[in-house]
Amino acid sequence: MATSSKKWETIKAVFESAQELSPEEIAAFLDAKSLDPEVRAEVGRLLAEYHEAEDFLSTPPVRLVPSASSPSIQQNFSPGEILGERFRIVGFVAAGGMGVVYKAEDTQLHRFVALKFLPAAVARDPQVEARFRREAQAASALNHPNICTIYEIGRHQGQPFIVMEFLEGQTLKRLINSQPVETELLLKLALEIGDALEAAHAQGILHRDIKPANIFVTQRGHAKILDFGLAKLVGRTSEPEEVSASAPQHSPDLHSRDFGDAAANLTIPGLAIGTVAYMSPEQARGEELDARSDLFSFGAVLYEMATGQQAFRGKATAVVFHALLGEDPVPAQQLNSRLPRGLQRIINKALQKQREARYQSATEMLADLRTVAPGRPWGLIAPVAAVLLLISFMVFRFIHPQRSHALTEKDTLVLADFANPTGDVVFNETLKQGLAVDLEQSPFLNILSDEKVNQQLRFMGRSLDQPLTRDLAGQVCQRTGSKAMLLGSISNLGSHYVIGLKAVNCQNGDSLDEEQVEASRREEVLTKLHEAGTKVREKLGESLASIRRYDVPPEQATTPSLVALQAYSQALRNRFSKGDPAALPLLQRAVELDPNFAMAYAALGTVYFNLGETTLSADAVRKAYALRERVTEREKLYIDSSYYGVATGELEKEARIYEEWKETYPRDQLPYQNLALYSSLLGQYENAAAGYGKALQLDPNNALNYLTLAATYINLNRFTEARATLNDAHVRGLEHELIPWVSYLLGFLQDDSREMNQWNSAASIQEESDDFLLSSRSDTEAFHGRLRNARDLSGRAVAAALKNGEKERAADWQTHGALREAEVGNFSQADRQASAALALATGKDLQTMAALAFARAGDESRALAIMRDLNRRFATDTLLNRYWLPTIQAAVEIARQNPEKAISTLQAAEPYELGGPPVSLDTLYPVYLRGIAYLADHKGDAAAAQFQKIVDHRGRVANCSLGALAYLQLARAYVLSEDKKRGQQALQEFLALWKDGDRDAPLLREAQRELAHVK
Amino acid sequence: MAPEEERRPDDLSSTDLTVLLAQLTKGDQQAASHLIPIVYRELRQIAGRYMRQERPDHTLQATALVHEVYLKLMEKQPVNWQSRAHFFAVAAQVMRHILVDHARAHLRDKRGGGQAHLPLDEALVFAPEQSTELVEIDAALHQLAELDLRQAKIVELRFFGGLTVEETAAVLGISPKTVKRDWSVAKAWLHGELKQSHGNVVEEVGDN
Repeated sequence: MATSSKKWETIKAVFESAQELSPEEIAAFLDAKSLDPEVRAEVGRLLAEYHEAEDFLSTPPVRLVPSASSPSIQQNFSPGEILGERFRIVGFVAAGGMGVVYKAEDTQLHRFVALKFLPAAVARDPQVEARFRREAQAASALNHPNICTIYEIGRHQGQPFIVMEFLEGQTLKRLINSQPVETELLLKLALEIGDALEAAHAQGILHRDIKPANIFVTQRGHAKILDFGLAKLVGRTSEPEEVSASAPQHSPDLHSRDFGDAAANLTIPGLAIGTVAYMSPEQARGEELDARSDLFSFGAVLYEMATGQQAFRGKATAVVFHALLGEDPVPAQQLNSRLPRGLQRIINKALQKQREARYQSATEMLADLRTVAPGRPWGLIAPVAAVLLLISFMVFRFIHPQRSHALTEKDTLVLADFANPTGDVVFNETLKQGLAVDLEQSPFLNILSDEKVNQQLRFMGRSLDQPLTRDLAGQVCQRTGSKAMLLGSISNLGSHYVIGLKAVNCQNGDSLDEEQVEASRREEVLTKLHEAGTKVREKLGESLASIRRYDVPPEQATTPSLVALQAYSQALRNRFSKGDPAALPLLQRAVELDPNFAMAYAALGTVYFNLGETTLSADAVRKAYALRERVTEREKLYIDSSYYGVATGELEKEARIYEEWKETYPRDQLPYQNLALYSSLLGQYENAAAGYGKALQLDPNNALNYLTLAATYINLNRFTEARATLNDAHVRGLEHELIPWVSYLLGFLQDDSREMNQWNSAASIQEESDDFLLSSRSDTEAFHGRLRNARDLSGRAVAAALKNGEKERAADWQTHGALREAEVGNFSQADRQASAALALATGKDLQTMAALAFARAGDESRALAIMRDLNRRFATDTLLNRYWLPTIQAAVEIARQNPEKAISTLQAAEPYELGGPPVSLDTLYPVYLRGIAYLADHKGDAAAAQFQKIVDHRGRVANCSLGALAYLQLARAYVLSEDKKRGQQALQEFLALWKDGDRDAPLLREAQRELAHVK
Repeated sequence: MAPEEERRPDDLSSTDLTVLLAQLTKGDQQAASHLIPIVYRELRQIAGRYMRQERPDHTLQATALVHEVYLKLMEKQPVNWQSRAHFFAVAAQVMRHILVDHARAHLRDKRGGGQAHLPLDEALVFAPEQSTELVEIDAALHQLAELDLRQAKIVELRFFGGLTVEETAAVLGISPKTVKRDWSVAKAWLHGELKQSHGNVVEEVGDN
């Protein structure tokens, strides 16, 4: 072909610009460009080839196997042809290195079957045939619903073929199609695959080539493992095998109804062979395989189902090879934030490079898989021992009551993605984001949050990544009961840009408003968009006063930089679809591009906070705060609340911001959640319940709202309502990682041993993986004086947390245990555990609790050293300085036998002493210590009043050992006030709780002596 | 391209190899001609070793093999990313030569029934049915090289060497975007050529 090099360059350029168009669009595109006819023809031809080529050349051309020089002759049967006097060919299905598959009808049993032939030349070798038969026999011994059944081996003109179950559906490879599989389906398939492997391994049969292409998902959604025919009997690996091409190979989409795939496979030179990506390291090294090798491959398949990506990737096999031998894949949950935490652990374990570190059997892996519940228990802050801080992106938008107009106060607006034929990708997400920020400052407009849009897309089975086109936005709008959608567009007009906004009633299709503005330069686009947005606000019925009040143009708010806004928009999008880690680099880039981008700093602060980087978080939030004059009203509220919540810890100021937020945007749930938390911290549980109830009403699909409300009811001793609230969450299919714990506590409080046992046994099935439950069970044991059991369970909780990679939490359990030991007088044990905890991790909360444990164990110097450090580092932190530090100080004073000083120190904590986050450990400490101090000061009545508070707040205390100890102390207080009768009652109460307690516990003996004395 | 003389890898210290790679990275093609025999020899040795283990279920792709050669030659000399890419580029060239040679021999063998000398017969086998297509791809690549040398090089690097887009870009000193574009065009072009020549097998495929 003679093409001049100039023409060739033109051809390449045109090809590139038309490459991503669909075949239908290409012709029109090419026609629109007045091209040289030769160029036009060649580009057309190449594009057609390009679309036909698909993955032509995409796999390296060779594999390394022992030589088997055998020409390949494709069997060729026509529909209607009868093989083995029984199987009528229906059609060709697929072909691959391991042979050819036909769909056929079994004329005797009148069912469809799949016939699989070896490549003729290979099959002609008698040794190979023998092996083929052996393998088929082995596999036919497998009778399992999730293994493709082999019926028999037939023969046609001397060639053997396998007759097997005909399946309809698609391979897992196709199902995954680079997208994460829905968790529920994933778990279902995983259990089935695991079950199949368990059955096969039990019979000594390995698969050796587990990969998505070898797993079929039937139309009814069941997994079927294919090609067990390639398996070899375990234990026979040392036997020299025939030289053959029977190495594990790429399996074409066997039985797939999609013939295109199979056809494509046929044209590829060098079918992807024994796809390296799923090989265990030992397989890659050519070592002997065992059941654990299959489990590694299974792990790689799980990973891909969970993330849509191969665990070990690389364009070059060499790279893949390198990765699977030596590198850990990106944690799956970083790629899919909704992945249940348990599944992440299972995948990690299955993908261990060393077999010894993996699951040792399919049975073991299956047991773990069974414990994983679908849902999204990931990425929540564990509210242990300290404040539960709730920060989330500002995604909640609501409106003021206003005069009726195009939109009323109840109406919601859906923002569609901008139609952008300019080819300038910078507009893709930025315009929508810019418009959203702009419109969200209006208290009148209620824009459907990204969260709710995503929720709806998931319900519709749509990918979250696809643009919200007019059609899709219309569907979302209708399904969410929203009133209208806002359609935006930008297009070129010479060197100018035309920006259009159109509001359409999605229920009846009426146009509510249409605006068009023109920008003369790219830099002007955001400003003009703002103008159009303002007009839309007016047309939709917002009052001019409101528009004037909430009208910060983009160059004064957000960012004037399109590219920075682009990074920011992508970050928010990533954060929704992939979680915090995926947003981080983009936010960093956004602030690099525009160092005055306040909201990007604020978002960075939130992301850092959620990733546990509290120092970086505080820094970012401080920067945002310094730039807060450059934001909209709503953004300012967000930044201010983050600043007081994260950077300074000033509770009252934070609460004031949330009050203001609630005033301005009364239908956002976030201020309600956080104000309720504030009430909870102050011990105002009624207010908290009202606030959490309101938040739940505003967002009834958020599991956290149920959890916090239920926990608050528990704190109010309203157990029936708590139970009902948890049931509501259950009925809605909402899950939260702390719900089992709260249910367990509820079982404890309602003395419902069945409920507790349910969680107990659930926990034991989980192979010790739920450290929350293990720790809570240890509390129950300690509550009843069974300290040895408690210690054991605590140790297991610590181990489980460590195994889960949760060092901070492991340390939390350890300090919690230490404090408990201190309270029953095991000071050295307490000291040791607290020290061990500090060796594990150092967070503010952890240090706080460790200091308290030291102080209660009489180790004043260590307690004081930590207190000084905390006070220096967190000088403005309200809870630390007004609750925890006085509490620890009081403990120190008690140890120094200065009870009066302890009592006066504790005054600071009074406003908070009955409070705490809805779910938390070690509450009411100031009360308990004040009681102890009064006892030491020989003030019986005052002491009794304190301990009585603990007894009265049974729900708040739950199974914390202070709850039982309070009775003992109460008895002592009564005895001190000469009220022997009540003293006796309280002692009996305590002894009843400790009736099965460790016989040798000193406290138990003391109580018994005291009782004898009182009598 | 074939090794005229076989310098043993041991003749070269790994420092020499590093120097060769550095020269290569700077664009010194002389360095490539020194590297080729080394890579060739190692490829054969490692492939042979695998086969002697007689593990019929063992499969490895050629690029993995190349990688192993790389690891063996370079293990003591951590080199930078670009040098690594250049090494793979040389290996891609060697692989192409070996494979196409082998495919031709295989096809000759099939036609003539005689015993051909295959340098890596005991070691490297692509699915035999690929012989024809490999030879065709090679021939078409020669034609493509006349039309667009860079594209032909990109195909060699990516298809035979298994290099990523980024690595290919580093070797050729062009942007990844250009690599992607050229790769798409080349694929389309080759696909067209192979379709045309479908059916004409070996006879027409000389050493053009």
